[in-house]
Order: sequence, then C-alpha cells, then structure tokens
Amino acid sequence: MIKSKEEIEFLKDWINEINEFILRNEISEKTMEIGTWFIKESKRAIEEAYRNQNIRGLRCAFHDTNEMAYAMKQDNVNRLNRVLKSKFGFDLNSQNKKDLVKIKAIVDRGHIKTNGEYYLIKGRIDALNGMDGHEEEMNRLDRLMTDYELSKRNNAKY
Amino acid sequence: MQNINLYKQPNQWICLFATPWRGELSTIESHILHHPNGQVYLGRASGFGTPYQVMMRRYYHHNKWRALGFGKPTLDKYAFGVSGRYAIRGREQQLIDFYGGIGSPKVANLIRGVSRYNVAGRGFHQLSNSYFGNIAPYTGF
Repeated sequence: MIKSKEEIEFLKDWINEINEFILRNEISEKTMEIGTWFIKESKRAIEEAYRNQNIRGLRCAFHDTNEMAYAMKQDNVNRLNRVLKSKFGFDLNSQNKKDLVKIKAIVDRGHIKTNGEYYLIKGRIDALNGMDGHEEEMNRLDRLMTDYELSKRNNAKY
Repeated sequence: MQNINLYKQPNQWICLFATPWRGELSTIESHILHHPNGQVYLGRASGFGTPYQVMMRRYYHHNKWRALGFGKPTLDKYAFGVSGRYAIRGREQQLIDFYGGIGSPKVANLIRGVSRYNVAGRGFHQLSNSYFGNIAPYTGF
C-alpha cells in the first residue's frame, strides 16, 4: 500500500506527465487554443491540489486523465505507454488492469458501495458502449449503477 | 486488444476486456431522458457512429430507468476528440445543475456527473462553456 504522501506525489507526477504528452502530441491545430488552455488549467488545478494535499481530488483527476489518454490516437497511446513505463515502471494498461480487478470485485459483490465505485463503473460503461459482444456486461453494470442511484433516492433527505 | 478473463461463474460469465481504444474519431454526447411526470434523467455516452446512434445504444441499456418510465431520449450536445470528451463531461454536470441539481424533484439523477471534489471539474466546466455556451454556474469545489 502506497502511503498517502507518496501517493499524492505519484498522482501529481503521473497526471502531469500525461497532460504534457497530450499537449505536445495530441492537440490538433483546430482545437489548439482551447486544448492548450485546458491542459494548462488542469496543470494549475493539479498543482493546487498537490499543495493542499487533496488526495481525493487528485484520485478523481487521475482516473479522468487515464480515460482521456485512452481517447488519443492509438500510436500516441502506445508512445505514452512507453514513456510511462520508463518513468514509473508501469503504464496505462497496468492501471487499467487494476481498475478491472476493482470492477470485478464490485460485480462479484453485486452492489456499488461508494460514489467512487459508481464513477468507475460509469467509465467502464462509457468505454463499452457500442462495442459488439458486451451487451450482457453492459446490462449488468447498468443495473449496478441504477440500483445504487435508486438506493440513494430511497435514503435521500430533501 | 488485450483480453483479460476476470469474471466467470456457473451459468453466467462476463469477459472483461482492457479498456478498448475509442480513438479521436469516437463520438461523445449528452442526452436527456424524460418521464411523463416531468422528471428528467441526464446522461452521457460515447462510442462510434452518429450521436443519435450512440445515444440510442446507451438508452437501450438503461433497463431500469426505462422500466421506471423514463423514455423519449433527447440528444442534447455532441463532440469529438480528446477535448470534446471533457467538454461533454462538463455539459452533463451543467445539465444536471440547469434542471435544479442533485436533490431537485425535477432531476432523477442522484449522483453528480462530475464529482464535487474532482480537481479537473472547473476545467470541464469552462471547456463546456467554450464548446456549447454556459447554461449553469459551476457547482464543484
């Protein structure tokens, strides 16, 4: 288990590395202005979260950044993986496997416990939408999400 | 694509793949499901195809919401590419807030589109403003 301080350091470095890569390689001329602004804004927010030792916020950004990285061109994903592997010893695929293991545990358990797990499942559904052969998995994951939302509704205090 | 078989039980199995590459050409959209009682459920989806196709595929898997009477999916906005993905993230949250936010009787969602604690939330919000215009104030920390 990585200690919190080390984890915060890792999260900051990992996210910044991916953001830098995207800025250098992925932003097209058409979206250069807005893309560059977004990456810089992300970097600023990450630095602020790092200064405030905001591990919760960094974990959210970590998952989103990984998801964003997977939306790059395949060549760039492969290149980024090589960069990450050499700097951190592992890459997006390793992180993805960890997420899949967590998702499997949630599926085995049969219900979602936290909002963090909910967002994890939501990201997975997003990745699977439109892929042939995943209908059963989609249905199962969607059911978990809806059950969690409805359980919140039943407990909601307005 | 790497195939990781993580889930297998008698009579039921799920094959969990590594997150597939969706690429810069994938479409991402935000949508609204309507209930006859006036409530709305706000969501987003990504995938290949037209924005409408992407929305309908996601709607097809909204089994329980459909069973609860949420229908008439309406396409809200769509985008492409890396920054487009994040603009839609911001848009989904702005839609929720536009209709009253989590806890509003008008909104069926019980979980925010973007966690209040997500440090990238403000960036999503601004990106959405640039792509689609602002419809609700920023509500994260």
